[in-house]
Amino acid sequence: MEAIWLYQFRLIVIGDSTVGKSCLIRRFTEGRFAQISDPTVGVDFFSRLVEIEPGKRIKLQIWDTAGQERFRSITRAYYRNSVGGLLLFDITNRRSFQNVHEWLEETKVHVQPYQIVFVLVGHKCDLDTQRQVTRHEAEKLAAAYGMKYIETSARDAINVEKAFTDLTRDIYELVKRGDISIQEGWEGVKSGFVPNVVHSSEEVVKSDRRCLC
Amino acid sequence: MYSSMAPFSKTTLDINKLYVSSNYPNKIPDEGEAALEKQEESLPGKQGSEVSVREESDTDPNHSDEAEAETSPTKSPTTPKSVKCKNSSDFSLFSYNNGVVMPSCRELDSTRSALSAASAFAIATAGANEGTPTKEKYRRMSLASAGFPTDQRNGDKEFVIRRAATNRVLNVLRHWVSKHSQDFETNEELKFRVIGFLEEVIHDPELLTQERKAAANIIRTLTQEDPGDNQITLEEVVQMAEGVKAEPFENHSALEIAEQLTLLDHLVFKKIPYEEFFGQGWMKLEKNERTPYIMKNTKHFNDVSNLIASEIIRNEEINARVSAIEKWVAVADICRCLHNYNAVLEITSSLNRSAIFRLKKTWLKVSKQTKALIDKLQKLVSSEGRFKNLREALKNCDPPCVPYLGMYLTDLAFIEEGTPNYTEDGLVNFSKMRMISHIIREIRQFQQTSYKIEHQPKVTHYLLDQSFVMDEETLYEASLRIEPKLPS
Repeated sequence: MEAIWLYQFRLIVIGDSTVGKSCLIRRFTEGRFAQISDPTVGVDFFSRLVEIEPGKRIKLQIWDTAGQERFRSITRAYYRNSVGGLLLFDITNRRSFQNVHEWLEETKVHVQPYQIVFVLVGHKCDLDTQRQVTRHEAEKLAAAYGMKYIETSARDAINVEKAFTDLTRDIYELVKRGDISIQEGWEGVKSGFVPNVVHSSEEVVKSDRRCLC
Repeated sequence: MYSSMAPFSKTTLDINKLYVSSNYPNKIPDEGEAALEKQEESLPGKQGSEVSVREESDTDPNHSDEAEAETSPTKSPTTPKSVKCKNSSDFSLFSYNNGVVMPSCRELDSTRSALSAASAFAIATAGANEGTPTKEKYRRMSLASAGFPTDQRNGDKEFVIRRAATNRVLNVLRHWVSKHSQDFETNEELKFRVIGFLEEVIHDPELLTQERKAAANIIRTLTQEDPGDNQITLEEVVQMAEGVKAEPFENHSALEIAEQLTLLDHLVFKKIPYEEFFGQGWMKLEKNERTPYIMKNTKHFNDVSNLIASEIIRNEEINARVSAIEKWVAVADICRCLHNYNAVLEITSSLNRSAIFRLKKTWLKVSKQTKALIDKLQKLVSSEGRFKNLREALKNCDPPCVPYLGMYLTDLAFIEEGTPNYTEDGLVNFSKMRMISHIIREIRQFQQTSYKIEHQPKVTHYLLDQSFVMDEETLYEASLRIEPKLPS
């Protein structure tokens, strides 16, 4: 397979302002952009390829709207043009956990008419001694909304890769099953192939399906 | 004597260059600097006080470019580097020979005990207050370095230092007063203290004529009545709009709306003082106290965006919605021509809101040309590649212009969070500070040039009128009502 990537998924990272969204993104993408250089250079800092199976790569575009939160109509367009999202709370900050519901409600309206696959992320799990939210209750909440739950730490690089790749796999499955499809005017999922090859490439994907456990 | 010094008089005294050159003795561009550089080297107590400046010069190959940009902020950022020559009147406060040649004409009383505050400060800044070398020592140093015929070499070192120091102090003040006049408009005490200081400097009998002129010029700039551009203020616009009857959308042409929206957007944008861009205050809990003008800017953006969405949604009839969309897109395209990229985003992001975006039937009736235009405008202001296209457009546009503030706020957030304030060696991280100043400077360039658009109260009243504007939820409910969800 010659293509660099099969699909491009656009993801958002949301949650209260101090939960460590930027740190998580940076930790995940830092392999490629170790050096922080001039941000005004037109580079997508927050994109990375993820290999979900040998030879099958997905390009992730992670949107960091840091600083623009107040421009409501713009951040909402970001929501709608994303296929997946990491909904973060800080395990040492109960308030950020209570706001998870609010964040889900907020996005629900704005992603219309599309859907968005969320994973609930309990961040800063290295600070276990200051924990204010138990793993059990977080798992319960996640299950109630049909999300997976994972605990991460950007500082100690715990589960950061896993959080993104698990979400990517889940979305990939939905795309393969046709539950999510590429649509004109929607940035959430884009194909890495020219349109007339999309079909054949998907067949290749399907024939390989047995490899997935 | 003057003719022999002619090449020197062309060389303006740029303090920064002085220290750079002392670090790179082999790269000295001309004789004049070479001479001065040697003098600098021999200054007692010099090295220690200049560490920070040298740190900057060492690490930044673009240093001189930035210094240039600093001196010409009214120029568009697009001006090619080669065109951006130093404005000679801007820099030639003192030509080089003031410091070197003139000493022979003057006697310096090195035993003066009561220095004026001004000259004491001047000397202190030059780092000459550490130890008091004898007159003889100075003389030897300048004899050794200046390279002038012996009979012209009675140059007194202290005199040279004082000229350089006075020059530097006046340059700093001139720059501060001319480029950051906001500081003095909002702080009367600062203004009067600077004027007081400069008046004292002027009355120093030892001051050179040029120095005195320069000081007087700064005072003149400071005391000028209404340094502004006679532009209408936002407050006046709001006030005038209040007295006028609001007319509906249909009564204003797309051109009128685009122009008046541009006038408003720029008035809101230019009011943001640069201090608000430090430390991400707009993301903090106390954002309204710390960054009131950034908050006003985002509120204005959201208000206009809500107005546009409401203007479309309020039409029960589908054709009226279609024509509202087409007219707003026409407004957006005129705004693009006016370099009001903020409004292009206000409009395109409104069309992208779920309440509008989901109106399938309406969109089917929107003309192909309009859709193509929306596409083009969206590409222009897309956040793709960190606003690659928008940055390109900003780089190539001459002010006046209204950029999208959110892009700069993201840049600043990115820099602030992605880079430490201090290097591993505990030194100030100059490359970070330079990135921040670069962004603020670009914002200020766009703030400084105002639009020459005549205010039309009837249009601004419409744009500021929030009486029919719906909030997010009401918009979505109304959207569902006019085009109910199809059972899927």
